[in-house]
Amino acid sequence: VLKNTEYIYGIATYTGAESKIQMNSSNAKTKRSIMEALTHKQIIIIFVIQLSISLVCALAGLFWLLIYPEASSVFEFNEDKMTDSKWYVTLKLFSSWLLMTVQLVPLSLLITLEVVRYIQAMYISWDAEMYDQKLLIQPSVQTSNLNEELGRVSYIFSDKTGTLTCNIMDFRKMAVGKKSYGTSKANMAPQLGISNVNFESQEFMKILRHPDEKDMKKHRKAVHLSLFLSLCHTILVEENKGVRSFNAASPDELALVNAAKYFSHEFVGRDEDGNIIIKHNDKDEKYELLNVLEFNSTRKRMSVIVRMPDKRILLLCKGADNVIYQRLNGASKYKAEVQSFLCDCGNEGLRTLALAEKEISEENYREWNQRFIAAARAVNGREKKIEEVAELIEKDLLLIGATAIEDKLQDQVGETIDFIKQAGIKFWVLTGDKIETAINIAFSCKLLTDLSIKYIIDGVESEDVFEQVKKCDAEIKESMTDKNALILSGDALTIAMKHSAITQALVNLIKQIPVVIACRVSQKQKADIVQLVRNNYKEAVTLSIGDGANDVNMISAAHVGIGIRGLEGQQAARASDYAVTQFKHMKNLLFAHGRESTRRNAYTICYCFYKNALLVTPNILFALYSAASAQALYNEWLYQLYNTAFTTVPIVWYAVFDKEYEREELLSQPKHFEEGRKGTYFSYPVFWRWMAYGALQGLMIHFATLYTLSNNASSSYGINEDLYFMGNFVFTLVVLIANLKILASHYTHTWGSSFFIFGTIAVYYLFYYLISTSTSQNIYGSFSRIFLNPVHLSLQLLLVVSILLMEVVINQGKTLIVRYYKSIKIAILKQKEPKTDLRRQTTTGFAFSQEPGHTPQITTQDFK
Amino acid sequence: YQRRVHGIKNMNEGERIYTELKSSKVKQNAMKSWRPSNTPYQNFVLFLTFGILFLAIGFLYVISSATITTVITNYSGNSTEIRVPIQIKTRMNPPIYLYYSITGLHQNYRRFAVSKNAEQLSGKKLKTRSEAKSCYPVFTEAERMEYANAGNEIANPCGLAPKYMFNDEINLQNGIGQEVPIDRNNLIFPSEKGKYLESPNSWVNTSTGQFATWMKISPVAPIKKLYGKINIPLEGEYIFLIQNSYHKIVHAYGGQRSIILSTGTFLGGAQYFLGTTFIVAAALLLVFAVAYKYC
Repeated sequence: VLKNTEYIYGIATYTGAESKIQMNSSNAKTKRSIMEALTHKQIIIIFVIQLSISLVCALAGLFWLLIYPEASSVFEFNEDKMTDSKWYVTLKLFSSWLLMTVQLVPLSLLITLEVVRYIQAMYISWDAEMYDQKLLIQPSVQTSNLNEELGRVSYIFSDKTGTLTCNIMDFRKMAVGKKSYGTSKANMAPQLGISNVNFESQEFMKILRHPDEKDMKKHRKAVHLSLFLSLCHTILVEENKGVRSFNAASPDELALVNAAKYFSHEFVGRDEDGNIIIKHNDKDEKYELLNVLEFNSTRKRMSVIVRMPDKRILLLCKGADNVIYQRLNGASKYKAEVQSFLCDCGNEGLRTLALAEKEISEENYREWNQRFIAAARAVNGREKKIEEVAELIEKDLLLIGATAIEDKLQDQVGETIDFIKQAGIKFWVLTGDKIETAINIAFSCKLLTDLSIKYIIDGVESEDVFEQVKKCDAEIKESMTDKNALILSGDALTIAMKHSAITQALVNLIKQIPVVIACRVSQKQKADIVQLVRNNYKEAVTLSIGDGANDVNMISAAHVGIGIRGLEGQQAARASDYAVTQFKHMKNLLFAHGRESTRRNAYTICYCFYKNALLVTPNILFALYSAASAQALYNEWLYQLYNTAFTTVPIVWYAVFDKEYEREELLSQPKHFEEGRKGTYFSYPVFWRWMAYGALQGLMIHFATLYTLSNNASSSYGINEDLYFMGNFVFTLVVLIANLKILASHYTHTWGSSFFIFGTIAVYYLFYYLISTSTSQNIYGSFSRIFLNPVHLSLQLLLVVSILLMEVVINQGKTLIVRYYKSIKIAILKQKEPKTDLRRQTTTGFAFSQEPGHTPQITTQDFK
Repeated sequence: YQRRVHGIKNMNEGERIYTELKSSKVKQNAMKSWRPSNTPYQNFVLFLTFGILFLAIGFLYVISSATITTVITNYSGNSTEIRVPIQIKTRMNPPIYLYYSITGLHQNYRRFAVSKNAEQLSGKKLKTRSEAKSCYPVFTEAERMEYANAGNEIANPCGLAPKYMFNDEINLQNGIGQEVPIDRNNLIFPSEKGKYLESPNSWVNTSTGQFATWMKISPVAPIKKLYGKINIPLEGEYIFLIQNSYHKIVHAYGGQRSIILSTGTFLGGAQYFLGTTFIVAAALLLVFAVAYKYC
């Protein structure tokens, strides 16, 4: 409307903080991984255990004093003094025991984990495969404490435009009569002035340009189709400094008109009289545009009526195949051939349009046009009336061909989604698009295949929606195939969210469906969907990925938010936890980094608790011998250095560098992801098994040492070792086992793993040596005896070897048992498995993105 | 590294950075590494090796322990000198270790074990109770002697641990009244020497091995500590002559005293526990070795 206006006055309203996006955005929450939350629960349990141990030991200490008054007389408790009274002594014992067991909750875990995650984040950003060479951008990690969450993802919510697709349409294939041209592997060299075409067919170009005698019929058809494409659209031409460019409301039309230009029918523009000017073979040809029957989502077609230079009047109609086929003349040819072309393209995910035409006699046209003008001038229900009138003329069509346009996908989207699906992750596409478009894309990115069974919920009344949900649920329960897909419209979703009964039914339904496509959803609904899944499946980890400002809510609503740093600005990347530049980077992020981070961080958390359980257990057990008096076994200094110097570096190295599988293996075998996704690395049983190992090994060390060393000489000096030597002997074994356990756990040994493990042990011996040279220390002069004594050495060998081999046996036994139960399970499943319904669904891929009313200067009579 | 970056200078920026990242083994976590394989056969060899080794060590301990002869003599009473005749049936070859053992005293009780003053024991003279804080509840001579007139100066050494020191003197005579020499040197390891120095005006000689031995806290409740070594073979009738100074103390806490004569090996005393543990561990390892081989 403003096209030829010199200047206008404008007011900018709803800007900045008042813009729709800003008003809709929610505050960012700090995110915490499920593993971390689970760890906090364990800490509470351990704290309760710590309190109980302290209480039991304090009471045991009190009872001992009461039961053995003679023996306790040595300690000269003076009952008259307040500080020596029974209750005070008990309280003191209790606090001493609390201090003794305080290491059960390792503070060092927090620091260790932070360091580990920080380095893991650095490794994510260093990943060469995730480096964008065009934009020069490395992936960035905003919230590194979600690293371990990446390997547990079981729901992915993805935006469509900009994330899965590039928002570029390319003309790919077409059918002319019964013959079809173009390949899906085309890689056309860019042509000057022609965009959005990626069409390769030497055969067609030859027929078009240099036809043989026998091909003349085909040639005429090809030229006609090309002309059709250049005429039947609502594109405007803009001229800026002598350069003509198309102004299209629909990217599909842009692709079609460009294709026509490529086939040498260049759309030049419209003159004042409403004639369409086509440049063909360097000559301008005039076609009088009589009417435009607009596209809308119920009509699913558009037509133009033109008067050809030879005065014939032609109606050219393009639209959804089912709509066009209904309106074909019985004598129309090529129906079957075009149908099969449409199906092939549809399964490939191309957006198809069927093309048809008919000739109208002057008389018929005049009569119809009067009705049309009347309808167009109607005050009430104009649109409906126009539709009715259009219906009168858009019939008895003759099919002439079909086109297929590719909504260009981002790099490797199909492979990535396929892999994600194989890994058992449920994939949701949340898009503002129409159902057809969304389904189309779902096909092209392998989210849907011709084996998928689609369930559509698009009711507009609550009863309809409820009915559809229930029906769908019942059918899925019966079908037993895992190739179901649900297509959900935004309106239906709004209704479902309002009624709790429908919400519940929907929630039960979506649990069973691996692929869900939600169409026509607003940005707030995107976040609501994520929240719906989060609230109803507490154990499931959700991940959102999007590129635009409208994805920000969704990104911050999910456990893990991934932002695509691309053309659509930085908001999504800024709100995200991980920012990448391509959808395909998700594969590396989840299956290589995420999977391994989950495994290693789980190991790190468990290990930090384990090593302290190993340390504290002998101290607690010594209560049995010291009348529960809270006498410590260990040297104060070495004990304080345990978590900071003697057991820290090897676990950090492990958590950063250990690889259970090589990257190629992880990125080709989706099954490796399942273990992490199902939480096998970190759960109550896993955690408490580690604690039990710690306690058991501490017990073994304690008793073996105590019964070997106490009141028995272990050298030809005949001297019995004292409490502190024994304590430090236990401590040395604890340090050795805590470190060597990591050595035994490494799947891959690098120079660093050995260097830091043996280095840490060496550091321990160094500190031990230094401390043992001071006469004020209780372990004075004991250093050499740890090494140069056959009894002490053999005892160390016995305990280290037995404990490490015990773990080998237990782990392998566990694997055997798990494998055994799995094989039983699989056998049972095989018996139950019904024959899957392999009925292929035929799909055609109509999709067309245009809303009516974009170009009134063409469609409205008043502008002519 | 510099050369490598230099060599790819001509490429465009994106490719250059990519190549730089890609070629860094550290940044791609592609450092040279090896994966330990864990085949049943390897496990078989591993378990078998340690099984056999542990079995050998276990039997070594058990067999060597079987050569040790031990004679335990209890004594009690309140007379100043106690004579206890003993009969050594099997000949004991030197070195023979002489231990004293006391039941009923928990040296490892926290309150007892910490009740001493390290500064005082390394030669510093303490004047006030607050200086000797760690000696609680035994600070002064009066508290040490349990005799009000003994004075209020800080006991040297103070604390529970020194106060209850075993101070019986044990001598051994053979059947014809000849003194059997008991070597009271080397009661502590050479590396431990120098912890307790001689202190003037102390109520006990703190530089002796006997004091140092007492101050080394016993890990378990019946205390057994080295008293001396006998370097001649023993067989037949002997008499222990004991200067009974510890009677009052041990009577107060209801303890029992005994003297233990024991021969030893190069591995020290009898290691039946350690030997048995080795054999049990070896048996388990061998069972698993067989399992790896045949399952």
